[in-house]
Amino acid sequence: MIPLKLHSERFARTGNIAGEGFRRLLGRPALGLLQTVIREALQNSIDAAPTGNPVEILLRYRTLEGENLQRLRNLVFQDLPHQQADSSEEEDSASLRSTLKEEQVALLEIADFNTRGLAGPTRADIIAGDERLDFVNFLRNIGAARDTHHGGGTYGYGKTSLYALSRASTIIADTQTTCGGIPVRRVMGCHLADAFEAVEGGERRRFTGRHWWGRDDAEGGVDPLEGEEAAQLADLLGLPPRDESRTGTTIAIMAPHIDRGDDLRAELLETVLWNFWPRMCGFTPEERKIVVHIEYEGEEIEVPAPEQYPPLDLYAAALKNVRDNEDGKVTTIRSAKPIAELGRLSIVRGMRAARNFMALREGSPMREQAHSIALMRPVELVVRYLPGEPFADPRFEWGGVFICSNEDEIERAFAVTEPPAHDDWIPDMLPKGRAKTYVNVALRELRHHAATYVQPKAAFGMSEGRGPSVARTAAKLGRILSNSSGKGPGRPASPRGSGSRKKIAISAPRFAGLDYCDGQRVARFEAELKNDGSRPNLVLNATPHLVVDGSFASADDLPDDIKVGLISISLGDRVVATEGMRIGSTQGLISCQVTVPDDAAVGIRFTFDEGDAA
Amino acid sequence: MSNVRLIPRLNDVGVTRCLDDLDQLDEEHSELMDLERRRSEYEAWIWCAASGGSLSPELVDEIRVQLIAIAGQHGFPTPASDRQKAGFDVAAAKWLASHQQMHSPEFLRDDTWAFLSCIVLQEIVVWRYSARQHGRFAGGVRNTFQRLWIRGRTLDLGEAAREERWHLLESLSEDAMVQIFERASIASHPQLARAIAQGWVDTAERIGRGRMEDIMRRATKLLRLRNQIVDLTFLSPENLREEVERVFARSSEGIAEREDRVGSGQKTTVASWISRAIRRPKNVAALSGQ
Repeated sequence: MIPLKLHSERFARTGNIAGEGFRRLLGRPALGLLQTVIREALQNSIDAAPTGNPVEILLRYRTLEGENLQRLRNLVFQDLPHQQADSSEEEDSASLRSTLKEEQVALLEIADFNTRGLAGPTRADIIAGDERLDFVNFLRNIGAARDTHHGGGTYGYGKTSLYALSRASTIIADTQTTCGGIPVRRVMGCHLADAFEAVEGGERRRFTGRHWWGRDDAEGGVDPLEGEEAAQLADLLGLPPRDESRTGTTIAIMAPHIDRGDDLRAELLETVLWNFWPRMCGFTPEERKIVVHIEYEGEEIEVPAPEQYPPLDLYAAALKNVRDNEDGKVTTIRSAKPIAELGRLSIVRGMRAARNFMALREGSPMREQAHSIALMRPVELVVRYLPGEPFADPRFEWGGVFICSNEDEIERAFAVTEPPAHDDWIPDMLPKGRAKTYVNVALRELRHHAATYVQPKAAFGMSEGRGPSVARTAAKLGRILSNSSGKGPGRPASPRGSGSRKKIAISAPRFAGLDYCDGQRVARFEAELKNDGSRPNLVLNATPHLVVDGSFASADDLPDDIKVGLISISLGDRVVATEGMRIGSTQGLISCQVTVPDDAAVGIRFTFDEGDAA
Repeated sequence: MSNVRLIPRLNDVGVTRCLDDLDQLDEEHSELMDLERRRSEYEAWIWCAASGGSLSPELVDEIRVQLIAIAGQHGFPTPASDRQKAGFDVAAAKWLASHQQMHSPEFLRDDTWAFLSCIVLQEIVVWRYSARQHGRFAGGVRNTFQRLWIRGRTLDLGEAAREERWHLLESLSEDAMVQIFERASIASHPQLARAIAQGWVDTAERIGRGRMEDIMRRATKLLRLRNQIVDLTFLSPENLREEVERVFARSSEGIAEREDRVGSGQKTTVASWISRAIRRPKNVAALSGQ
């Protein structure tokens, strides 16, 4: 197979947007980069689905090495940009050249199926007539206006996040689509770097830093690789298989800025669920549904139904209310001047259900007690969660859904307040006018609902938050009470209440871990020893035992191999074997090791005795 | 109309009063009170559920008549041998377990059984045990009839098993029953209880009933030990059976199979009583030699 040819864009006489400018278009999204990318990519996929088509998404993370990596080097990136293009190395990014030299290159692939793919002509300067311009808009143009009615995306700037996620600012796009009504397969590589100067054809020239890999178009540029050859290359690179019945686009992001591991799996799953659950519920109409598969290094990660995945179950119930316009469960948010219905809100509360902690990473918003309203446009993609007041009792939680009206004027008002990453509604971005009023009023109303859902009274002292704190008064009252005895008449209160407290005590043992040493399973137990040093001759004994029906059991009349044995007791740097430990005046963490026989659980008991030995 | 038949209950104070009276009568060697007298004497402590079914004096009468009849077949009221008593236990357990009206949760209550033992069937309890064994009157795992009911309910293999239906109930020794039914961790799971009973029967068949006591003790302990790690009640019947087999095999390691193992059935025959008596010394040797 002939390797792809590189085309590096030169500045035109009229000027172009340089690579770095393009990359900065995204602004600083509130979400993490990976989240932004997944949101952006999935939104694009949803927008690219012909009406009535359920979309299938595959998120896949894999590592290329050895032969596979060599293929990527030889077939796609044989031809590398000028050395000068690599000059400015930013922090945490690397040039394409150095990335390709590494022994392993990770790929994050985002593939959609059942969508249109990147259709239309492959050059930006061709007039397409009625045809869609997906290909040029995605890979060549910037900031094209949105063309999907009530679609999720509005700018097309979000695609820059794809490059930002790649350490080498490089992506490969593979699409099965149509051009002029004829099915076609296309593969193209794109790289977005800084502007640079280099000598080309004996002349020093300026380049924008945008590079494409494809087939020579005989006019100094490149077109994507097409047809059979494209399919062959995609296969060789191991991209998700496609044919004419599996239309759609795969975007492979090279060397993404993400740490691999369990957290990544959890983050992929979380991002998909947290942002796209409205399109993944069981009750979502078939034609609006997206089915997501996640694969991590060849292992499929199960994506649960949102209705069965707290806290999304509450949000899903609220969404169902809004969709069905359930009587008494939905509040219509209105603006008084101009009179308009801005959207519908439903809030659902429930017991705080147990979370699936295995699938949630540290710090995930789904771990907390739910207390937010999910904001959406009728396209039903979560823009953001507007937090409100949580229930004071952590056993309860609530979740709400707000969907703005699908009146064109109102929907447009909300859509234009979204920044490029579509992760907020910022009415300040708009000039004064009806649109700004709609969004401002809606947000004000929603904030009010979120703040007062739990405790309607808060509505009256909104400006002061929760009103004056009573903590001070309580502390004062407490101080008065603490001087009197709580034990009733007739008994003198012991000074400060500590007289009867044990001076030498050991806490209940707790299981600290299981080790394997010398071919033996060994359990570690820990306990806290308190010691005021008043009885230094006291000996601490530890007696291990078997556990049957949740309490002690001896190993008597059991086969000989079922035995528990104490290996050691340690306190600080003192270690003793099975005999007891004289406590002296030390205190601190006691740690014991106990052998564990097969098929049995063990426990340990601590006792003190007045030792005269040791 | 509700299907549940309720039975009067005797509260703890009533039980204590009744036991005090029994002690006194026993000391004075006086006659027991008759049923009418007992009913009126302890009336203050007899109560019934306010709802959830209908009180059924007929059921109480039926229980009394039937159990006295069964006891009659096994020697009541004349003092009975151990074998007669064991026979009564099996027959009464079958009857209690197969009575349609006695499948209700009413019979999971201790005070229901206290009423039956202290008042309705006091003379049977005294005949089966003695007036001194308080635990046999009060409700609980040792109650004369409650234990038979739970044994029958648990070990019933169902009508589908035909003549094998009561196989486990008839085969298990009293010691094995106690090992199973006086351990809440086992008795509370019928599946587990049946599996252990079956394990006992199989092992007894292999090595002889006479040597089962220690083996059973060890086996139930091993199982409870294992239960601490693997919830046995969640195992499939096959896995549970394997687990139980493994434990019985382990706890009977080193014990020789009985020589006369010919499918002679489980019923204790005179011959087996004799062979058991002969084998005993060898048994002791085998165990101490371990």
